[in-house]
Amino acid sequence: MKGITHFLTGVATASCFPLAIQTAFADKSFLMLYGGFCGILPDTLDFKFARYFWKFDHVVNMTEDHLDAKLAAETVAQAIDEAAATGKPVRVKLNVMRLSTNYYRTAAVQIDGERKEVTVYVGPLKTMSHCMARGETLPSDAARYKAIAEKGPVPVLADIAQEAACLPDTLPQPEIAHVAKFKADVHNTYYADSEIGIFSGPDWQFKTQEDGRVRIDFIPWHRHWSHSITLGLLMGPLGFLIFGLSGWLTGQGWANPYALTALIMGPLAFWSHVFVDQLGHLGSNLFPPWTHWRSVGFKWSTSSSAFGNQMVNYLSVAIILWNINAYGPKATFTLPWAARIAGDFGDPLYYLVSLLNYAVVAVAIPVLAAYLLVRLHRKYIAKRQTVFDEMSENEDFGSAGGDM
Amino acid sequence: MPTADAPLFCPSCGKENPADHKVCRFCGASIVRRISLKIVPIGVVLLLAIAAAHFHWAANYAPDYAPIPSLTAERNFERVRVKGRVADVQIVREAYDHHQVRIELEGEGERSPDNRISVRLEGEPANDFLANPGLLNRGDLVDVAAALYAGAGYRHLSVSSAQFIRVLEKGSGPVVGAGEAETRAPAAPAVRATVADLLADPEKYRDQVVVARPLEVVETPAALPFFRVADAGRPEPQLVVIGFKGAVPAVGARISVRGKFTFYEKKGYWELQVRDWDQGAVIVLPDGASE
Amino acid sequence: MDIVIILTCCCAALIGVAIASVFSLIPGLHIYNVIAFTMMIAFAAIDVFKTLDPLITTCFIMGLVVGFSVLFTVSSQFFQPCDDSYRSMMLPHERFLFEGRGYEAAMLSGIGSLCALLLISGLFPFVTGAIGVLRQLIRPHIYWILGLVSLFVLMSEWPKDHGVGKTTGQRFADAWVQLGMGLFVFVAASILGLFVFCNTVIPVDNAFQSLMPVFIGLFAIPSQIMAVIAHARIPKQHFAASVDCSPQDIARGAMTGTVGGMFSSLTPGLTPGPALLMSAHATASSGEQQFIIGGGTARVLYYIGALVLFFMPDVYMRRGGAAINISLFFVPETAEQYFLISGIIAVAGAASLLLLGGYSRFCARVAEKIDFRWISLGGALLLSAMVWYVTSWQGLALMGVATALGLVPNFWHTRRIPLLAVLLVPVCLNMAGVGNDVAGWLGFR
Repeated sequence: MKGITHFLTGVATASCFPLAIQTAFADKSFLMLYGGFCGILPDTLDFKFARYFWKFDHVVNMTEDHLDAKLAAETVAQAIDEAAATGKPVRVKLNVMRLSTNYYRTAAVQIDGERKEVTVYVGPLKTMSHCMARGETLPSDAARYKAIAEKGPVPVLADIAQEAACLPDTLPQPEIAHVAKFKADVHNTYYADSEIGIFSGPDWQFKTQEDGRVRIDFIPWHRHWSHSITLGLLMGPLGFLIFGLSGWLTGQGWANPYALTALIMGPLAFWSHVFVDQLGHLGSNLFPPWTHWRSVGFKWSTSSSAFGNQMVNYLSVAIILWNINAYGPKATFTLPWAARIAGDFGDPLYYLVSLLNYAVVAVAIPVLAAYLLVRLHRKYIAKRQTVFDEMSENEDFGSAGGDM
Repeated sequence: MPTADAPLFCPSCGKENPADHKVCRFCGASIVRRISLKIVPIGVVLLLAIAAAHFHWAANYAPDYAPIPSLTAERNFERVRVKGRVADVQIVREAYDHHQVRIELEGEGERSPDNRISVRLEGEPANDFLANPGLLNRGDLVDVAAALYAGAGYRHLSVSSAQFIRVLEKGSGPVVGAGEAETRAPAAPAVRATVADLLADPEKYRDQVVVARPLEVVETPAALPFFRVADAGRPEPQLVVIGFKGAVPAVGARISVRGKFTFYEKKGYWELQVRDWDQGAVIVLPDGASE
Repeated sequence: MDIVIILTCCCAALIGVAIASVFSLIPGLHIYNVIAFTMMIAFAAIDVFKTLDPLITTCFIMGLVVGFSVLFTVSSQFFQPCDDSYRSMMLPHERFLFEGRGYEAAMLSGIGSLCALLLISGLFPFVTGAIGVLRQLIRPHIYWILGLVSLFVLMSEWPKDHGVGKTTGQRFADAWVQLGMGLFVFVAASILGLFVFCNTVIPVDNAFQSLMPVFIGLFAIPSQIMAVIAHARIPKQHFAASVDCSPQDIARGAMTGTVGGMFSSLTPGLTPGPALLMSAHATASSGEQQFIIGGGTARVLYYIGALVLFFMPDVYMRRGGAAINISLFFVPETAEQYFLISGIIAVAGAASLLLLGGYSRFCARVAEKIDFRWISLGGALLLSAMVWYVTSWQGLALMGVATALGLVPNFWHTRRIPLLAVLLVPVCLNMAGVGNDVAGWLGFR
């Protein structure tokens, strides 16, 4: 999910602690900020630190003057077989090809476990905006694999490249593509397709797992130790240290209520990030050092899914507003169902009835309405674009993942 | 909404493209999936229609006046709008910081204690009200938007700005305003002091009403509500006089000033705060006068 | 309310729009500076000013704000192009300009503005209660909301190194020099903001404009300097009759802009920049069209939406320079006034949108004929003169310091959003009640 989504889930988690809300009326502490910090921290650790210390065994640099698809494909294929032969992890990176501030030469990379082929197809020029729009126009995996079985990978990738958002007429002439074969059996934990696009190129780790197959991990440095339940435990003492120190400096002492709250809030806010990431394809390594692999995600959504991000953010904001109302000294709004009950948010019955009313009116109904709207839009107005028209009638939008 | 642009030229950048292109090969813009800029004038028409509706409401809006008998303790703190006739006005001036205006309003219909309510202005709203003498006549029909304060044994409306009292219909009673003043707490007797006295031992005179004369006007910055004075015949020390809204005497004029001697925190200096309703705030002394 | 008053107010608003369209030609000039200037003129001619009906003056200012919020980015877009040799990323409207699509970018922004205007005048009257409740709800929590925004601004800056360094150290340095400068900019801007909040270095006569030299120095002058030294050539612009976008782009862009605009209008101390950053991420906005439309929507919602909250029954919120200046002489009292203001916004908005097309063409022609460097240089001199006139040499010195800081993002490829810490951090700390303490530690008190 996007950074703001994790940030908001962290804040929403923090808002569930009454002291974090009540402090706004009393001591004005910054407990809520600690929740947001813990929420976004895992990705910060990965993208700003971990990836720089990840060493690669093979780095492929293609440039506009030297578009060597064969080098890229062979390097990846040989790395898979090397991992199978040596039993040691082998890491490969394909760097981006940046032409200017705005233009990138792209290349599609496909690792087909069934055909045991690595295909690299040098694509057109794209802007950053084109690269980000890529996910909204690709055909489903099922349709693609069926076409590959019929035509082979290069023609299929060529069709996709021409259909996807890009600068037309910028494909290399003649076509630059290469299919490299490997021998090992593989277990691909992510999509078969990647793209050399913008920001930082794709990278993989190939490592033999217990059953002898070579496990393919995409961006292996991501969600490794940084997205673990184990690391989350450390957020408690960290929060205690921060708020304890602040309390000591202001005369409240180390074990003040804010420090004690942060002891529990920190891990929970951190774990909210881990949980939300589990909803996608790429899971996390949950219990290092006891576990070594990333778990499999639930595949309900993808990180760039507009609907997924919006719904999680909406839910987070709804939770925050609910808690602000419930934990304040005087409720700003009263729910209609609870208006008939005497009492306030301190009474369990009143609280539960209000929460139920809020959950139905402010969460369930809008989310359901949005879901139906998006499904209807997808089905009747913006069919998922495919290069295989005969497939479009049979598209199962649910299995495609991503944007509904 | 497809465009009517020529298909061979990109509608966005104007460059020529092969006939079968759906996307411009120069700028990447879609040639087929576009929205006409006619949407803007359509939007303009919509806006004007909405504006017409708003103006209609503005011209014909009938406020939901709350009957005065309905303003009970159950509606405490509510913001309400009432209509009534001015039955009486009391103006209380206190020393410098606090003034209160009470307007007794009588609702339409039967005359009863329930149908009568007091409208109060305090502080700045009261000062604004007092700055407009002749605002109200007894018998005026007024529209008041205010917050209700009602509880056991008390009930009044508190107005946060004099602009929230609007006269709907002039009555025939006498004018109420600056001419009627009751000073509940008589102004504290003013202390005589010179500028030199004040600045030599400012804490002694802090927040007291002082009279200083004869003073000489030393500086009158343009378009600013303060001027500087010094004791007559002694150019230093100087003191700022602030709050006088009348015509500031010219530089060199000999004057008497009555005001509150106070410390201006933000800039760190002492000043004399005068009030323009105080007739004795700034008096130009006749030539030769020293007392 | 009399129809004569309504029509007079309309005329005043249209005059405001006309004046705003002239001032909008100066790249980098902010509407709040224009309003403050107007108030200074009004104070100087107080006897004349007092004879005007405050409602008519309010509608004139409303026309200024509406006109400005719809039109003012057009001049910056055409007269301050970027040089991509010292940029790591080009914004969509900048790229459009170099592709000859500057007019299209202006119209996309105008579509976003249209969406916001329809929202403000068409929807707001029905949701005043909800906005009032929302405001009451978040009011005690503004300090930590601003803290969250500051934290997100800090933590959301991603490295732009592209991972092509040969060694770990090289890659790490490529990333962290840029990130480090972003952090430096944030901290330095915070310190500058605290200094300005605690000390009035400019003459007391115009102390109410103490932030003006800072903002002009942080944002406007660096943009003009970068334009002056840019090695760029603006190609001939094409005037499209349609825009490359879909109804979905408009809907999603408007949604992004609405979330960002409402967030910034309800939160004191928050400007559209960071609010739009967060809302674009939160709504997973994608594509250049959505970005430009969202920007137009957010801007209008921030400037006009925040101002209309001042007139809204159940809210009466003084937010932003325009509302604060209006409140000096006018207090809204009735629902009729709110309807009038709402209608005035629609009229002024309609006029601004009708002007937009011709205005953009005019700016495009000027940019083709006159070297934008001269325009930017002229703009910089004019703004400097304005700063000197309003805030004297002290303000110019402050502007110089702010300019030096404002240039850092340009040369170290970091974002400009951290510069907004000049407002975010002091307001956050003051609302949290620790502003004085922090200022004391820094030696400002």
